[in-house]
Amino acid sequence: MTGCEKQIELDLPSVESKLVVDGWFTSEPGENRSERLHIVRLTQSIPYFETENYPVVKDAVVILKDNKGNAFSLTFRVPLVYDPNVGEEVADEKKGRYELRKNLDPNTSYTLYIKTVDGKEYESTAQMVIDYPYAPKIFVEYKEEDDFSDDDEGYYINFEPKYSEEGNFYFCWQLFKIESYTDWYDPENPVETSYIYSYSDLLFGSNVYTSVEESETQFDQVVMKDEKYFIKQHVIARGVYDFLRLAEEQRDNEGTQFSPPPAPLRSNIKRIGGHSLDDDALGFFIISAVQKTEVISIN
Amino acid sequence: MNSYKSGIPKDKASVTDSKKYGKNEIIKNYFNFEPRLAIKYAISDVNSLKASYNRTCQYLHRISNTTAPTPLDIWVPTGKHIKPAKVDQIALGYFHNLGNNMFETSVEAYYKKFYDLVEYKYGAHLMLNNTIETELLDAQGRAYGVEFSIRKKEGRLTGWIAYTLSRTEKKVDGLMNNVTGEIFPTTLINNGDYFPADYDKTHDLKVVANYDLNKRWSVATNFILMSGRPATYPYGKYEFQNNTYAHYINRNGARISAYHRLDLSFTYKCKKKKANQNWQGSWNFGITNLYSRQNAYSVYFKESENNWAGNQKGNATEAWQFAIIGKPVPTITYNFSF
Repeated sequence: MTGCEKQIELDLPSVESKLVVDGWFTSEPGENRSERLHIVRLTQSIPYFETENYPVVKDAVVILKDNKGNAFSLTFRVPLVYDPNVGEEVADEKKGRYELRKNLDPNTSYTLYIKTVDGKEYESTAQMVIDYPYAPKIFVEYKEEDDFSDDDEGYYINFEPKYSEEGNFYFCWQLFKIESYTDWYDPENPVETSYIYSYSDLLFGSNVYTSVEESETQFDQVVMKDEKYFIKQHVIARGVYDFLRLAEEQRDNEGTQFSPPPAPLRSNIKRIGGHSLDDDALGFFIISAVQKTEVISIN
Repeated sequence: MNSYKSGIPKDKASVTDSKKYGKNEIIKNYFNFEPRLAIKYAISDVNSLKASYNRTCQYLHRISNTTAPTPLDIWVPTGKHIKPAKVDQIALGYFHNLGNNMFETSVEAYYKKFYDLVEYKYGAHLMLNNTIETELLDAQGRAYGVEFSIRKKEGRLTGWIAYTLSRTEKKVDGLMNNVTGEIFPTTLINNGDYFPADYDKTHDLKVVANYDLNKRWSVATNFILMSGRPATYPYGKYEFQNNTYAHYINRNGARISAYHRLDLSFTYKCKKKKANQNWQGSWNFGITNLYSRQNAYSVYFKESENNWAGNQKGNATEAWQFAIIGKPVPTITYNFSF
């Protein structure tokens, strides 16, 4: 009687489809002494209740520029994905993206330039690969069941960031899990293989907004014995920090009466010759300097 | 109390100094002149014109960045960083009585100009924030409208009808970057254009009627119809880092559905137990929201739960409405007057 929720039909206003830029370049080097593979996805926005795939933008000119006068072109590629219906790998057009193999240089500033086939040009704000000297310290904490806490009993990964005394720095941290398995492709020569994947949402912190004591330094996911984890610390620009926090807020917004109203996620991809913020692209181009903790095994 | 570098948005990163104030120590003084002027001109016994002007200052700001009105609104006093809000209002009205003063009619128009309002920036965190000034932006506002009213004061049927057509808007111009000549994007709302305030109501109709069935029983009805509250709706959606995000543009660029409801009540006037009893009791039996209107309290948007059902994550998105008291509510009250 006091309240009810229901799904409703709404006639929403529509606007012209906009370019969406999705790119996150890190300072991590490539594997096996090769250059690191960086990816930028260009897609278009669609009406809110549409269920079609986001259209991929092909044939755009995408260039990474640094503050030393260098320019690196990205190449459009369609990755091969295994199709169980066909029994082999096929090109998945929906996953088309622009690729560049390059290790980013520390203390170097980069921008991303884009020109679409209709002649519109965009450029991101400049971001520097910050040579941050400190990685956080990772450790495990065991929590007992507690009537006053929502946390389940079990092991939790914590970390202790080290904030620099000088300068304003903004961070996000992400937990990664290392899974190992035996590859029996050649039964006579089984190969122990491991792969890494993201295990948590981002946590945020800054030496401007919080002290070390106030930072969110525990990941919410319970971890199990004998599992292996490490943490990546991304040092990001202030604009990236604000954008990722607002994006997280939008994802977590349950629309209750206590929730804040939605906010536009302003992009750092500026339209060259644009007249207002509405001319800019959507999404974000992120550059982050990465530090990793040691790998910890839960025991 | 912090001091901030001038010319850039207030932020913990722009703090230049902080000072601790002692108990009863004055932080900031504000003195404001608040004149009032009201004129009435009686054209005849049944016609009159009224005009007024007043300036009012408000030293307490109500700040709410929730989707719907809640009892958790935050009140912020004026101080070093937040000025008192000011409003200049002019009003002009024409009043006319009909039917030997059985009916009173009026039409009034008003215009208000607001200064030194506050508006919250995008992504503001207001709860338990001891540097709330870093989350607020300077704003101005305006309100204008016309109100029509007719009232029947006598007879078995009494009541009134009032309709207001109005607009209440705010504007945030943003802070200019003196170096680049551009506005800091985080200080700009809706490109500096006027937008509906959270409490803007374009149409507001109220009908109240009371009918005396006999000496003891009377029936009353109350009908309300109002424009829905301004809301921020998405204009589209897109994918970023494997998540779907809504594309919002204008704060309060849309409205939730109109609010309307009908209430009905019966009142029984009790007999006095003693002839010299100096108080009167009555029972009231009512139903609020007679036709079960599920008035929207808030509308929000989210990804469909079915997106996670298949092998590939879908991107379906939905609109949901939250309503409070969507059913008829019976009431029984006992009143006494003396």
